Amino acid sequence: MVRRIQEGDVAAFDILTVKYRNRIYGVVYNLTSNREDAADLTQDAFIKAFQSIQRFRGQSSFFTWIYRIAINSTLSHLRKNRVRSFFSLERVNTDEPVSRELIAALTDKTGADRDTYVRELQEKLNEAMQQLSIKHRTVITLFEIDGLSHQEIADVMNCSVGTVRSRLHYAKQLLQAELQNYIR
Amino acid sequence: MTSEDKNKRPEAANGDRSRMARVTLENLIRFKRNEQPPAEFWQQFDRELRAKQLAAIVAKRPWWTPFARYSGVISRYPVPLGAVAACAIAFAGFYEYRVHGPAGPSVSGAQSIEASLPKDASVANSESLPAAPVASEANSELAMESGDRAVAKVVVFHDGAKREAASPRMDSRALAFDAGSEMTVEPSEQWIAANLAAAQAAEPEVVRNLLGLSTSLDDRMIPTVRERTEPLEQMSPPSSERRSRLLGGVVPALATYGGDVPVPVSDRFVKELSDDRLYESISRYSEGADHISIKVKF
Repeated sequence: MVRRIQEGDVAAFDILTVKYRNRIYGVVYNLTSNREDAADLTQDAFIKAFQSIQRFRGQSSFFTWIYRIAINSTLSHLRKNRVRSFFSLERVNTDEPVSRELIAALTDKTGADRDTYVRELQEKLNEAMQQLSIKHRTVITLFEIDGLSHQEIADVMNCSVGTVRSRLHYAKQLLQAELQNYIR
Repeated sequence: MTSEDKNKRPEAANGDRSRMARVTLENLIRFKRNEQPPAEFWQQFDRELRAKQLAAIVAKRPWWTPFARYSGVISRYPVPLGAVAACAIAFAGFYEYRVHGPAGPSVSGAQSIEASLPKDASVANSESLPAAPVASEANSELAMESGDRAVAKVVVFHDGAKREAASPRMDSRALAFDAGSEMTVEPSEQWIAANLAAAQAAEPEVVRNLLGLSTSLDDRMIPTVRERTEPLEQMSPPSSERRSRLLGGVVPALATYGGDVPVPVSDRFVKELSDDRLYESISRYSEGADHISIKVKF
């Protein structure tokens, strides 16, 4: 597929875009907590990959390559806009089993009250995440939300596995302090 | 209802509660996984991406784009890379200096002088020149000292013999540069060389004088590499300097005083001070049994 893209097949690139856009968008969104910024950054990552596809030598998978492009673009964006941060949150899919369990464990409310509670929880979660430093936020996002291993995170962030573990531990401590009202 | 009852989770409220016994931080963080955009979002996303993709295909990428990927490395190690760059520049400068030496700039300077000189053949052609006033030898020397433009004037205003004699100066300079660089010989320079030969045959004395001037000019334009000497060796010690200064003031007075001791007298001092001035400069003179005290004021 990548070879086809390198030969100029734009349709092949579209296929890969559809395949990976959801996951790329997810990680960028969880880092920025802003859906518009996340959409722009995800598109930019795909455009960069499209422009630089000739330099892709196949040493890693295409997903790993574009994932790193997206992460690096997002981190660069976050560093540039360190001061400016406001939320533009997606709607939580409460039909998912994990969400249902969690919400049920946290509250007995139903109907509109339950939605309000979920919205409040979501804002509190994003607020706590944004209070972390960029490095700590990245580590916790990649590990807990995106499910990457320590080694993979170390590769993406160009640091050692020990550093990843340390940052993860510290980030969890901070989040624990912020979200202690919800932890039971 | 007691507080214990309030904290107790009623199992009847939700059937899923039995599966999640306690809410952990990990559960809360993973809750964010369910923040997902609706399907309509992806339609707009695809439209925007396609537009950006087309713009990227059409747009001409700036020339520095291939170098942009190295900016991350540079920003990561600014100090070591800056130090390496500084060392490289210093080494390159030192290497250039060692290879080309100080003669490099003088050649370029000479080329500019060569370009500023009139290259027409009228300099060598005596018949085509008007009857110009002949400059005196002293004036011509002064003119030569004053700069390159003056050199051209000397060549123009001399009579036939001197004109021919003046021209080899330029020729010798041109030939000197030819030896150092691969410059082509101009026709005017060939004329000048021919005239030089003729002038040397006719009036060797004048030619020798003018060539002496040209040598001094060349020396000015092309600095020779002087042998390095220690700066401290060139300095005379303060004690000897002080001694010579005192002796310089005292010795002429001693000479007029009529002492028999042969004393070395500085030529410079003898030239600069007349007897009258030396007499006026002695402000105090006293003579004792075993000493002579002279106070000299300059």
